[in-house]
Amino acid sequence: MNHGFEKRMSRRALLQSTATAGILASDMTLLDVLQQRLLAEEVRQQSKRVILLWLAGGASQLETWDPKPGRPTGGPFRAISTSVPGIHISELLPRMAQRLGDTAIIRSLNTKVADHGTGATIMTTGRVPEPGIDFPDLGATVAHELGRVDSKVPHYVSMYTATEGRRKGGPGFLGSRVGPMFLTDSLMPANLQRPEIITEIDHQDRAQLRGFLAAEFAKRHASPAVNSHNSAYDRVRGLMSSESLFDVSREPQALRDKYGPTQFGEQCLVARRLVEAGVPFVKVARAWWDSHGQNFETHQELCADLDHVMSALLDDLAERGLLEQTLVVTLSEFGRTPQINGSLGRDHFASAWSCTLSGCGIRGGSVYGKTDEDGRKVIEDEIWAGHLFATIFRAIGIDWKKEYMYGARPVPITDFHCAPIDEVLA
Amino acid sequence: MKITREKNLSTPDILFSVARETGASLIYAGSSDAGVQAWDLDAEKPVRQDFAEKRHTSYVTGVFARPGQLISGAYDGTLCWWDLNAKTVQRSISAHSKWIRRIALSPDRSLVASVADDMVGKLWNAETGELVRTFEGHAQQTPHHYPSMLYATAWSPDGQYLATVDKTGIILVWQVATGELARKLEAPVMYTWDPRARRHSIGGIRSVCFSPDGKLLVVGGMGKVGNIDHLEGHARVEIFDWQQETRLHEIESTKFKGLVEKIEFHPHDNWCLAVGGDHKGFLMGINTATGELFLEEGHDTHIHDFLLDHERQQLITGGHNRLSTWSWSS
Amino acid sequence: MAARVLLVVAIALATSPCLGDETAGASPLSVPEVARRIDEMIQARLDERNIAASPRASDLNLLRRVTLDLAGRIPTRFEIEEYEAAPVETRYEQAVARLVESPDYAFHLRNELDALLLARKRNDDSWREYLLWATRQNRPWSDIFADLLLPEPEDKPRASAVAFLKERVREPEQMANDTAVLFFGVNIGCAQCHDHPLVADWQQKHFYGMMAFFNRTYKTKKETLAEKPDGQTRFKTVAGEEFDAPFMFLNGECVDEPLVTKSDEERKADLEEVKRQMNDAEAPAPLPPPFRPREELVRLALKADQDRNGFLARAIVNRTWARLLGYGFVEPLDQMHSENPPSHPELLQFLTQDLVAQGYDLRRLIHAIVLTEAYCRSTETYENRPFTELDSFAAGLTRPLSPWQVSLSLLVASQNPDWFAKPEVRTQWENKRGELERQSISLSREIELPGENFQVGVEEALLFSNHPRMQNDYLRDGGDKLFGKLKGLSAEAMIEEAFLVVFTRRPTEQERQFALDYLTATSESPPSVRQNLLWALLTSPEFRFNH
Repeated sequence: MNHGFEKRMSRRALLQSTATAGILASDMTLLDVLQQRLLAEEVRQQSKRVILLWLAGGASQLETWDPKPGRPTGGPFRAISTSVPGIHISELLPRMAQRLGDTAIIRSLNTKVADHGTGATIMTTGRVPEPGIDFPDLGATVAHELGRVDSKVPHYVSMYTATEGRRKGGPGFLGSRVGPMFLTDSLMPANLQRPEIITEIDHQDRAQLRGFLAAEFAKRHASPAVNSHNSAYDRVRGLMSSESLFDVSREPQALRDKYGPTQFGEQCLVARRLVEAGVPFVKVARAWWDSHGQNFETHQELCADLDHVMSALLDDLAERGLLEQTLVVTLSEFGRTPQINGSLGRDHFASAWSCTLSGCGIRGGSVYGKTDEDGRKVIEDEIWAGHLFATIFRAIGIDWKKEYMYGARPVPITDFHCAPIDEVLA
Repeated sequence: MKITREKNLSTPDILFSVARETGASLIYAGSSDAGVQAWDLDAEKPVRQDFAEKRHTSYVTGVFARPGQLISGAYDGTLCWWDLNAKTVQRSISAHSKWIRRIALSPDRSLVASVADDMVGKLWNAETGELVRTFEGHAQQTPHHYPSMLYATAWSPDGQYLATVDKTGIILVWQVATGELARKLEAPVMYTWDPRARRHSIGGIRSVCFSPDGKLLVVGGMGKVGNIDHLEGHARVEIFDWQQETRLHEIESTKFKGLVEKIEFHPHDNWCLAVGGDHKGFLMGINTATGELFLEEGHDTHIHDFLLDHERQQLITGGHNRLSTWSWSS
Repeated sequence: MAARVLLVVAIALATSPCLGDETAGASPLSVPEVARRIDEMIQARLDERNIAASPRASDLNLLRRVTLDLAGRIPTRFEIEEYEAAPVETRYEQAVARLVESPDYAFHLRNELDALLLARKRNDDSWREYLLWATRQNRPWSDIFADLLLPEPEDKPRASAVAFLKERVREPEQMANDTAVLFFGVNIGCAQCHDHPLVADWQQKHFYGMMAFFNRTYKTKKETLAEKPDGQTRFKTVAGEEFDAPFMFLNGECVDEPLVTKSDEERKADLEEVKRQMNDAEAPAPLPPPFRPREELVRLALKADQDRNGFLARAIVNRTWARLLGYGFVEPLDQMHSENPPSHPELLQFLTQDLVAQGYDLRRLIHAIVLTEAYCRSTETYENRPFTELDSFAAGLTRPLSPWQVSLSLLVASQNPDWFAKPEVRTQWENKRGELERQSISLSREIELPGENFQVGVEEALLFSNHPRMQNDYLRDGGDKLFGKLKGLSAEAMIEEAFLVVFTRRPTEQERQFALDYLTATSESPPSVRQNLLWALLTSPEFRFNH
């Protein structure tokens, strides 16, 4: 056995002597035909990140960030005061109420479309879908701007374990290089672990043999697509070493307890591990808030989870000094009707609803926008998805006026006529 | 048996509880506007009169009338005693730290039981408002780590036992005199946890009632739900011989979906009435000896509470934007 | 009924040899003559711009390229042998002639059209059956277009063409714009809200004019398509004025709806009927209304081609050229408008006229293109060629394989080559190919459809590196598998065979030596080292791209 091992070692030496690894790296600049390189480098050095808490199905603004206690539409919950004088939120979020210092609340989203599919597309791409063009989602845009081509960690991780409302989102015309690594069945991404039927040595041999053949081909066929193929394979071994990032059992029990026992808690702990390791964008989808029946019981369950986990996440990020570089967003495809229906439910509503921004680049403890006393319409500072996206871009240092070229057509990363909301920016 | 709707009064709020003094014409209702209101149903055109004093700050989910007095409980966790002549609050007690879901007056009208989402049942002296006893035994959280809810309570006809029912399908029967747990039963079908599609839950036992002979315990809710965004489980009732801890009947309506919010027996007969709803409402008559569903009547909105007036052969239901009267004949 | 009559007329028009200067007359050009004309026009441009064209690719390289393009898979070991046994001067033309008539051609064109028209938006076997039926009989493109826009529920398999519109029926905007993009090569999506900022041709009325043809289309409860008897398409300009959109084709030609006066009762009855069709699965099939907008659109589109201001033929010529050469005469493919002229206007015009005159015969077009020198040029780049010259067609372009090409080629490469010995009868191969199609589906779903600026994602690399199916399906040690055959060979023979089967070429001296050193670094090499080499070949970009 010993003898055989030594012989394998000589095979390894052969592979390494061909020095395949370095050949491709120099051509990496060809990869990014869409990128304005200089500006992006600056952004990268600051290494900003985003965690998107996607409240899928449509969380109720009235049971979270914009309560209307005592009104016929207000529902049974009280509003409670918060760590910021003058700001009240629903009693279902007592922990977040004590941590509003890092969070801005936007209460004036009017996004008009109240069906799940189009609503989700609008709120993940920041604009109305257009026939003939597939817009990238927020995660892909951020991954494109902040992700490093040779990164050993994923650019964009998307966790969506519930099956209802699962929409992959994705890179659109930016291409799958910045598409999400999608976690559905478990907290471990697919194909990140070496299958048992292949030994570690064989796995390494394969990568190096391939590197040799690929380099020969790439020398004679330089193209962005060929280079992307090679850089994707070059990232495999590095990404496999990031496997441990997805393993929450490596965190101290005391910290795991803070995040709590729910799946959402574990996912957010993974999200923190990922941003800490430099993943630019992590989406944690928490389903399913579509409370047509029993809105209040549903929000008692889901808000308890959100309040507990989001506050643990903000605390954890702050303690590690990561909150200054990490923007945490809560967002849905829309909010819920002020009108309470016969099943004590609330239905789809996109005319006046709320979201939050916490951490990086945000003026904490601020509230932007106002709805009327029953929450039926926005009466001050109405905004649209594009304004929110511009604000997010600005908060993490991405040039919100930037344009991509889609064929002959310039596509601004921010929707037309939209600019950041200065009032919520630090 | 036949049931006929007589009056169907509209109101902008949601009525969660209805009560009246035996034989009187005034109906009292607790509602989503955090107030208590009175209706004279004998009037040609019944008019709603709101109690001027607003003491509760959230939905009023329980009202019971005693001579000259009304007791109310609400989601704000308080119990109030009202003087029915002055329509003012005589006493207000901070009774629970979370929502009071239901209150129930003992058969001799001397004690008030209250159940709330703090998962504790409490007994109060109906005269003095003193706390007499607490019943603690329901889990604070669901098996899936979310806050549980304690939805309903009922007295045995002899006043010796109190039943309390929760979200996860647990039924506890307590000895009133000692506060000890007498029996534990389960109706797990009424709790739906959706681990794959939506990752939260719906349902719970929403109503409970003892039979006039004290032998049977009937609970209501809804059956398993596919899409938990909606109240789309079939209306469901389970009948137990609670002392033997055996389930005698499981009844699901094929006609109606939604929660059974309230159950009450005919005082001298072996049938009970179960009401509730989804977006719309229903009333169901159940023969508790055979488990037969002999009456299924629809209503235009969800019904949250009702009372049976045997002397008048009258039924009064309160629910979503409606107060309605019904008559029945055998 | 009406649609059927129309089709007959359309075909008669399309095949009547009375149009065009070049292609008119008694006998059309032969396919090689068309190819020669193409090369002349390309060469004229190269001369003008003083660009030297790349040399012709090697024979085996061309066999691989054209087999991927016509059959959707790499060549089998048997096809390589047959090719090399044929005379050097004619082997390529022979291979092309065999491929365009082979069962593979129809399967592959079916897969390409499926990707183009439905882009995986749904899995629909009957739709794919329809496409295969159409490609097997080389159905004219004009007829495929009409099948898709005017599906006849009672006429199998054409009825299944309904999938194209049904997938988009919820949004008339989607039906209108996708039809414009895919069949007419113009994307008018951004004219939805305002006149196109860059293109004077495209105004809001063009978008809504197109939409008017689809606005009455709805889906019945029975899952068929129907058209409402009336309904106007209104739109609002940026200035706030409201207009009724005319039924207007992209060339500006309009069609007026015959004026029908209806009583309120009749209108109400019409509405009730539509409601019934939408809600009642038992309702008898709806009667087609007297005026059918989609039928008018098909008529206008075909007429425009005859009038030489059409879009249908031009767009498919441009798409087909781009598919086979890696770059269109007009890029992007959906921006065929006056502000974005073609690189070779006379060539595009010539091919368009030929296509119309020859009855929208796609096989003829494809056959001619793959015979050109332009198609056969080497893709090798010893120095970085500037991207600005893509439209000169001076060199071949490296193109990513489609998901089906990847999956089918993996199956062909990893199978024991003896499995592909010459089939005795055509149907035998047809069945085998059908079997490969079925086997290829599941992997193909894991691979991204290449689009503009295509880049391979890391998910694909992880899949090929770590999914057990790579080992179990493609590298398995079994008599039916390539590895089963290779493991019994000497190291030298194994290397030769593996390169030939996977890359359709023999290894270079350097590759041969490198692979040999790796395989024989020890006297008793474990079998896994041969699997490792095979894996590296299968995951190399040389396999992943057409070049």
